[in-house]
Amino acid sequence: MGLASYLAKRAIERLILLLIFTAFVWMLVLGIPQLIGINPAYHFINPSEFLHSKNPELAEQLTIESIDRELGLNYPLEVQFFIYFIHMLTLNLGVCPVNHQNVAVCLLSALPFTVILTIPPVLFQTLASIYLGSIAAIKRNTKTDVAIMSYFIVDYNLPIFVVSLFLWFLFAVVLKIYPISVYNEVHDWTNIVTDLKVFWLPWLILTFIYGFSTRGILMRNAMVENLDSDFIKYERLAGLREKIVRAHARRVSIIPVIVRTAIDLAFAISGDFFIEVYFGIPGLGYKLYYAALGDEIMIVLGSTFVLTLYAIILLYFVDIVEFIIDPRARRSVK
Amino acid sequence: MNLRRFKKTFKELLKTWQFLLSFIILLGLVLTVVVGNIVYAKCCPYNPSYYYAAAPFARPSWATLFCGNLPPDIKVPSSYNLIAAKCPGVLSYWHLRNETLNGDKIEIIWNSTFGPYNETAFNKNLATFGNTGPGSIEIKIIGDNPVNITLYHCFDYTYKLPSIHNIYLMQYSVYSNTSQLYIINGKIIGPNGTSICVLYHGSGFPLFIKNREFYSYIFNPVNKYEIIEGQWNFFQAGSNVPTFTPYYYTLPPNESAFATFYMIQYLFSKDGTYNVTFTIMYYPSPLDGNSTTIYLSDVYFEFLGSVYGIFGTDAHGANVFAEFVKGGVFDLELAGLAGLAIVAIGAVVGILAGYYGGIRDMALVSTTDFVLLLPGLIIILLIVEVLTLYDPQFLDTYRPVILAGIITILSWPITARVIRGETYVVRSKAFIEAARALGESNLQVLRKHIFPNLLPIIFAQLTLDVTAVVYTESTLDFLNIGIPTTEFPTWGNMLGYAQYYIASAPSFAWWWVLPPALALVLLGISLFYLGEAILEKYRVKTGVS
Repeated sequence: MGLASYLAKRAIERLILLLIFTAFVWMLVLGIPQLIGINPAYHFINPSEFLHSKNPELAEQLTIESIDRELGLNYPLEVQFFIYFIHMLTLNLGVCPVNHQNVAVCLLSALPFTVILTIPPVLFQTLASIYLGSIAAIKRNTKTDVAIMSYFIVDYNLPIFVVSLFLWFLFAVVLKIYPISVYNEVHDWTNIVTDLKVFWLPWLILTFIYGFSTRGILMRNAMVENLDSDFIKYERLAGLREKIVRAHARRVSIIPVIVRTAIDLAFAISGDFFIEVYFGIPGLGYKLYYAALGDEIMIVLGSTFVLTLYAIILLYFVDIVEFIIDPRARRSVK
Repeated sequence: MNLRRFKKTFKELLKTWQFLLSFIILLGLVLTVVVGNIVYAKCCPYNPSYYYAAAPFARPSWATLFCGNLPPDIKVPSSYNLIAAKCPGVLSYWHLRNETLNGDKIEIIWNSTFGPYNETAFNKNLATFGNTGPGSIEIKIIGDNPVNITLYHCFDYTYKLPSIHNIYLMQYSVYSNTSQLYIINGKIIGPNGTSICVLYHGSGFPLFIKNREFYSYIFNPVNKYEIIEGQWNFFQAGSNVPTFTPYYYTLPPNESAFATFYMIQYLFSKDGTYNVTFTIMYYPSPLDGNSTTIYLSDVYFEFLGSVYGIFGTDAHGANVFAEFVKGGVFDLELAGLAGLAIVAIGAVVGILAGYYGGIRDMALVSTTDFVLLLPGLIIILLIVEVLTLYDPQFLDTYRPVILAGIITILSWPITARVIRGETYVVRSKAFIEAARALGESNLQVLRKHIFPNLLPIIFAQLTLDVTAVVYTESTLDFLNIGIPTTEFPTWGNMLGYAQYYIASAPSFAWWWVLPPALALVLLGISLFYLGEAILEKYRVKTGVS
């Protein structure tokens, strides 16, 4: 099977996933309520707003009609969804009827914080997992191996909110070296000093507690497998130095870790939403959380779509890269 | 799998130390939760009627080893029969006897049939007693001269001095059918001579008091100064809400904001004997007849101490151990049920897809792909948010079920995929081929050969799923999306609730935060090792990697 047909097939699969997901979220928020006879527009207005007007009922009706027009709620359901999906694909995320904020602008302003929060830990995690995993594999079944694996397992099983609570408490309240309130400090992400002041603790938590252990275990197991494989045995028999042999084994074992990193990165933005909410970093997850609590439906729809689109694009790249660098993946595709 | 084989496998598993340790931890956790839940069957610690088991932020009783000699709860009287006047001993407890004083004859008897009922001012918590039914002290005064009748009892205080979080409360219920003026005054007298007046109520307004500030206490309608005749009146005040005490009004205006602090600090300044006193001051007028009967009940003083129970108390003085076991039972139930549901659905779908392959397999794989793509927490947040928008009542009634349902729906495909992979491996083994060749039907093969071989991985998957469910649910509770703190405790919402208080609590309220946090962590790790041990054994035996 050629590269082109494989890529096309995967692209269609991913696009269908995106369509299903968008339909799912849209049905959940706007579709099902209309099917059971609730006009979602009623949730964007406060009836007491119209009490001062001469004709409160007319004023309310007019407002609801204008919201209907804005959200396109006056079309039949299938047309509504089609328009919505086209809008989403062209990244025309719309304007929130609650606060009249442009959703795309709102999300763009939040993006840098999420990127700053996500990228450094992912890089460091990957390096650390490759390093620790290979050490554990080389010193297989020794105390070092047990210690590293125990760390991975404990790490994997720590609930993130417990860790965040304790570490934040330790550094912000007891030791007083982390700002108690972060939100005021991070309005401007271009200021490196405040960035470092605010982001070091989330980075620490994301690096050592969250997401790192899966890759470490993957690396160890792959490395163990490769150290036992025939080509390494042959290299040893041929009298190559142990250092070079290990380097070769490591190079082969890195592939699943890199793939896994990309997958993790695809979900990192939605996965880090707890950290953003807990520390008050105004990234995408934070925006989504407070939009959901504040009933700002367009922001909720827009940000879930953007997060999914991003994940799908990244997963598609994973497919491509896996296909190109790993011959085994090519064989497994049928 | 028959029982004997199960026992044998279990015994073999117990030989590995990881399995043994995690099994002991898990058993300990479950036993604590179950036993605690039997002991605190009726207790609902987030309900205000279970507040004030001790002072807020009371330490666990075993922590006195390193916290010093902290004061425990001091109750005067200490038994319910004496508080509610259910036995004649209450008269001697409060040092009451018949007397003739100042020309008045005072007769005191224990009335076993008449007692407090229909008290509207009564708010139930663990430090108040009201509406206790039959049983009261009947005080009959014959004569028309002013007279004081005093009920008193002493207690010894030999502990560390109390902190700002300690509270003392006084209360009583009174009934009378007279228009004579009498005033009931409750106060505490310390060994340093300080006396603090906590209660002051009368059947009329005393016009002979010269202190002008005191009028703002008496004529303040919030304080409910007046004893209304012909019904039971419940009065309760304490240092936690000082504006209801007369003491508050005796302080200069610039100090009254600190009344809580002064009420504790001025009174409890050294070890010694403290005197709890209730005085009935009788000011009769001859026009209203010369005989009066007053019924007293629920006469009670409590000093809320800083040491309580197994895990101390939270910010409202509610029992943290009760919260812990209640939360634990909910978490374990939910995790067990949702985990079983996930594994059941996952096993059925996974085995069928793995065994039959083809279109069923493809459908499963694409479903899994889709579900893996869903950001779990965000989907739950969305669903909860949509339900609060469109049907909040439904959400409130079925919240635990909805949460468990969503978590199950989001988790089963991943389990199904793991089991599908294992089924694939088992299916291609020689013995399956042999069984097929012997003419066994698909159902027989599935039941006799595939399912028993998959049992270990199903068990291992169950342990992982239970952890995942508990963690997801706890995260939701922590973020106030799941079970709210107004309903019932869970480990997640205990932590979420505690985080608002720990920064200002003494010793950062470690007894409140650590139990649920450690329980969650231990549950996750021990379950993981349990599953891992089962898998390990399985791999060695069958050679499946």
